[in-house]
Amino acid sequence: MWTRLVAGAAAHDINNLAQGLSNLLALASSPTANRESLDRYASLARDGLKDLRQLATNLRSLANAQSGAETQRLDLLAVDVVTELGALGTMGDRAVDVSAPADAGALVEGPGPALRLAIQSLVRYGVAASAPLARVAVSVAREERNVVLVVSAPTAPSPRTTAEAELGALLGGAEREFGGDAGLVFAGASAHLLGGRATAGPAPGGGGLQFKLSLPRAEEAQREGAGDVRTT
Amino acid sequence: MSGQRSRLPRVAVVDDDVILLETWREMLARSFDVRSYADAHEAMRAFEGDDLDVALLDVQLPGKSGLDLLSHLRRVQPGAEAIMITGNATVEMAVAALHAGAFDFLQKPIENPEWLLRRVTHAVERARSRPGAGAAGGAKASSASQSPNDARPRIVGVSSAIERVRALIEHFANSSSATLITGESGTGKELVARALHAGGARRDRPFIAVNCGAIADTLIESELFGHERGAFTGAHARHTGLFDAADGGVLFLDEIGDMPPQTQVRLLRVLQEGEVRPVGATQSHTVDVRVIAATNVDFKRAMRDGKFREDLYYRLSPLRIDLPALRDRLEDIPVIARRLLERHSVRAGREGLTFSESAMAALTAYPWPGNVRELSNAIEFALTLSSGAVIDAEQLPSYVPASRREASAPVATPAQALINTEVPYSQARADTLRDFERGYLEELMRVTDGNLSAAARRSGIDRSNLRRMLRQHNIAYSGAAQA
Repeated sequence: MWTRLVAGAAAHDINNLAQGLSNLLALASSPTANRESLDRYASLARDGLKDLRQLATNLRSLANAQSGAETQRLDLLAVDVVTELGALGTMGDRAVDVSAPADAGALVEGPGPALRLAIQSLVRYGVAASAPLARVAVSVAREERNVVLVVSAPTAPSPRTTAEAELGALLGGAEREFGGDAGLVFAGASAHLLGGRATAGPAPGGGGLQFKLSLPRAEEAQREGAGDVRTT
Repeated sequence: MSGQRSRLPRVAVVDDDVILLETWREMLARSFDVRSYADAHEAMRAFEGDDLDVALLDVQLPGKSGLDLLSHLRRVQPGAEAIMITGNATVEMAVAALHAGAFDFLQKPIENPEWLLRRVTHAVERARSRPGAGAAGGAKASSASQSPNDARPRIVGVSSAIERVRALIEHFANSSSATLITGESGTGKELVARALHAGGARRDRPFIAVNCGAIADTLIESELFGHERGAFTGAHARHTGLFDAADGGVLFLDEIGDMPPQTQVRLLRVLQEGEVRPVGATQSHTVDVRVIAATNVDFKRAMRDGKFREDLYYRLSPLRIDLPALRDRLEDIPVIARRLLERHSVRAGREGLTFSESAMAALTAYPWPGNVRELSNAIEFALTLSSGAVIDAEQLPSYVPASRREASAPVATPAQALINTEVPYSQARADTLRDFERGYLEELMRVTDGNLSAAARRSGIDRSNLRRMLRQHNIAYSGAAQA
């Protein structure tokens, strides 16, 4: 299932980029294009190339998700990812509150890029789907065998997401919930490759959407008392 | 309202992809007043205030689907038209969008910006042609799109199968997407194509029908795409093709399954790029034509045999209407027969003709392999033979046997019908059921002396259903109005 979803999502993003570049080409070839507009088209084309490189990076992160056995602290990774997203200006007028008390036991195994991809994709979607001026909440907590990252986004309630369900089932189901969003596909695929699961459902109290990323705790590393081994 | 219409048409573009949003906006800004939104929530808020003509909506948006936006737009701006755009189209999605009231459903990539501009222009024309269009909050505009007095071809019938066809025509009429109509010969494919044209925004533009099987292979490309002077021996002058003649309207390609392979390649290119290159020309030019194709050919077999290109089939069939054979909707025969008799009798200057009971019974008992066309021919034949006001069974062509009621065995028993393996199973089954129903009803009316209430009580069929069934079989009952 994940192969189909990832391929579909990548095709969608590439198609969009191709459309964007084709539009830019048409605009740049227009006899009315002046120096100023050509500069703007060039700048947009550079953004397109950046998106294309990012897509390649994401796909590579997925490809390498099962190579190597690094141990990472999910709470620290979550803080890093949210800080980076803020610095990139992707939040717009929304805010993200991270509630991840330092927990040396919030250890999971997996390559940093794949873990970051999963977290980043869920937070990005939560932010984009939220109403203006909304506050998205990110928390990390330990459960018995898992470390769980929760992203709660105050979006309008979805009539199709009425109970917590596997992200893959929602994205690939007949309803194509979330429109087959590439970021969510990458998050779900990444969780799957890392031995965990990603789910989506209504936020408690019915105030929007809640995504959960559950990854198995790295017991071995925990016993050795590993500290901050973040990769940035 | 007139003041609103004199302003530049206002178009909203909603896409979370910034490059697409910027470039669509810039392309459209040459002809329209464009508002662009990368955020679905912001767009929804703006729809409530802006007086829009058209919204171009990405199907896939974070948090809200384009369909959510579409339904919001229909609610707050009933006079505006929506064009959905996606890179990940499925037939279900297209049907859902059109069902929800989208004017058009476009699939990325769109290589030619001119083409998009034309689609948006058509949508604007459509929005502005609606009575009361453009008035924000004008709640009557959504119902104004359907005029009870419009001159659309009528698709006659009472069966659920034909109801479905009518519903699809209604949903698909406003689309510009290619449409495939399938059905046996004589099922009314061209009528459906004309209904699609008459019910859509292109109704005031040309409808051009061409039978691909009727044009010689050597001429079909020149006919469809035109040719330049000297393009081939005998091309003494430049010739405009049917695609150009249909620009802005509809080109109906009947018997598309008969199209030669090399023409299929050229047609595929036109559908993909929206551009036509006449035979012998070096330059292509843009055309805006909705292609409606029809066939009675089994496409799966034709593709398997290499006679029809698979990629062309998928280009032609984002929207598809399958027409049922007449034998699969027997309940439609009386109403169609009466309608055809009316039409033929008006033409012959003999209005007011009717069918006798035996004639109608014969018409409903025959399987009509040539469908409505054959039925029409049979009625015309009978009309020519008759001299009175009533068409009788004897005046029908000899291949339409007289009613089974008049045969030596009053009613064929189910067992007799079932063992008739000379006809296909579906037909044998339909014959059996029909004969059983007729036999049951005749016996029922005999034992109840034609009393409808008593018959309804005895059979357990409610009165209105029983009345309908009796009328279908032309069985008399007390209180029945005289035809």
